[in-house]
Amino acid sequence: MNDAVLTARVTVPGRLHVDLSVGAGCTAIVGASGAGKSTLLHVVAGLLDAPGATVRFGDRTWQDDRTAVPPERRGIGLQFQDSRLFPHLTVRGNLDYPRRHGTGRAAELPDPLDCARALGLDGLLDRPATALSGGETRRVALARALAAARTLLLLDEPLGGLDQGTRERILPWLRRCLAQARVPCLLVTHSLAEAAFLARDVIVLDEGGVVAHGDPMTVLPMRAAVSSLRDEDTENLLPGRVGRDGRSVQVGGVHFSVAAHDLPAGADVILRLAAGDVLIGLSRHGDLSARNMVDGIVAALHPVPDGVLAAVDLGADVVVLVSLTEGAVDALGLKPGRAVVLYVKTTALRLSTAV
Amino acid sequence: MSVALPLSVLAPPGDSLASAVLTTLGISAAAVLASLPFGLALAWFLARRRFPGKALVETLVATPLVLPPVVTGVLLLLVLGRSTAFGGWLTSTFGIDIVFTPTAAVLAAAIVAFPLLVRTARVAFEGVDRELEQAARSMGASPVRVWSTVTLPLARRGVTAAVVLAFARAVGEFGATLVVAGTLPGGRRTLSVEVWQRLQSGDPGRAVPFVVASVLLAFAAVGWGEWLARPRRQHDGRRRP
Repeated sequence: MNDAVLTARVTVPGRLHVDLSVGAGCTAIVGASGAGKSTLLHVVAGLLDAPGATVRFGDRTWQDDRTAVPPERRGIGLQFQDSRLFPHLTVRGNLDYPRRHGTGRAAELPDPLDCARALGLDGLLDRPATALSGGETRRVALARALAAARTLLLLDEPLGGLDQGTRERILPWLRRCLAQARVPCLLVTHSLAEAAFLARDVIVLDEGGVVAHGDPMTVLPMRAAVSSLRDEDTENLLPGRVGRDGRSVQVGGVHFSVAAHDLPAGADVILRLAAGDVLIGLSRHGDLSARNMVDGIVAALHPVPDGVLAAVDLGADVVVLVSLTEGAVDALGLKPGRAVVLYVKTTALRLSTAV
Repeated sequence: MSVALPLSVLAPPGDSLASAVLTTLGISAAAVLASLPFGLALAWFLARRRFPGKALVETLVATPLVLPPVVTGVLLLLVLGRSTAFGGWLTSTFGIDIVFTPTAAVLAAAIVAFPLLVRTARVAFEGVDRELEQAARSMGASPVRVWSTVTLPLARRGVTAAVVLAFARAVGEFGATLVVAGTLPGGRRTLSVEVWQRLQSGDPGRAVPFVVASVLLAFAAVGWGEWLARPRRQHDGRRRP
């Protein structure tokens, strides 16, 4: 990648050997726990000394054999896996910390109140940091990292350890924050689906090394090749918005009809759709029960152990993964570039919303 | 740093009970305040840094704890007395004469209280989560800022306990004080020295008010420490998991 803003070469003998370059926007590092993801983030942050490591940000060297810029001079915003809120401060005190106590000019930092607002924390500002629920704690930690990031945002499992419901509620907030962030972001997660939802560039780490690097739709089907990720279900997470009639959700230029819900029109939602719940046809049939028929073009076919994963491009940057058997691919004569129709049952679409 | 002037304002001259109590409190407070910066810095270093000779420093700091205070006093006298090399140099160069001044009393109290201050504060610093300090640094705070905004606030209960303990020890100091600062200008004496003087006079009864005052002072100091260190409820009663 030519427009690399961050390059890092980190070697921990016997554990990790990573050479990566990261561009603008959000890059996700995916791997099982113990793959060395957190180690990598801590080296980039300057909190961990890995002998021989090289870290460069833009035209500045953060770390090499002769240089080691201390963490407080790197201008990063790091969200720790265990949140690490200051227990003696309120939510506001935590969010104000980078601005009040950081070196460098406070004016270069994002407004902590904007970060709080982006994560729906307005009502919690005067709460002690010790009086928050798990999901609230995570959101405060995230807002604090955003408020501290003048060069680079580092997120270590921002949704790790949360129950499914809480994860699903925070995911849309997170996506919105990343979209608004003025700095590049490196995000560590063990979920490929989340990585694909949040990042435009995905790096897969396995057994201490990079095994895949590319845009989400190229990398997603590769889970099969990664021992630690093989068991994860392939699920499509599609960012959408509730339509005016309340019964549809708009994703890119496509309207999906969804089951009854009590969300207001215009609400940001995530549409979750398992890859196995989608049918592929070559033309539109009127006599099917599926309420959603969407035109698309096969972008790629990836062999996986239990068949084939087809990436179908619906236009406007929306790609849906569909799992098929090899027999089905042969029978339909599917190949990249082929126009197809996706059939999706309304009941197969699950809605996740922000808090 | 002379404490003669503040002490002469604080405590009336003579061997009254008020004079003894105020002299004791003044000297103890001065001893704790003077040793606090060094004590906290050393406690932090011992808690967070590895350096050559650490074990030796630890031993040196703890030694006054087990040394008979009267021996500490004699050592001080040997170092600071006008007839010794260092003490003579101080007197001839700066005109400073420490022995039998309030400064000597403060020094004696500070030395015997120092181990309690350092050891208690050290435990308090060791109890602070390093990961929170790391988090603060990642957000741009310099090491000194991290110390003042995270480490110290989180260690404040233990540090308070250290201060109270050191103060209480200074209040109770007798042996070293007797040697280097038995009777101060204006006939002022600390409570413990006064008690001893009155016993020496052959009429133990004359010491009783001072004994009672000592007991009350000790009780108050320890009670104050307990009160400061009492477990506090979180704002809404919930605790951090």
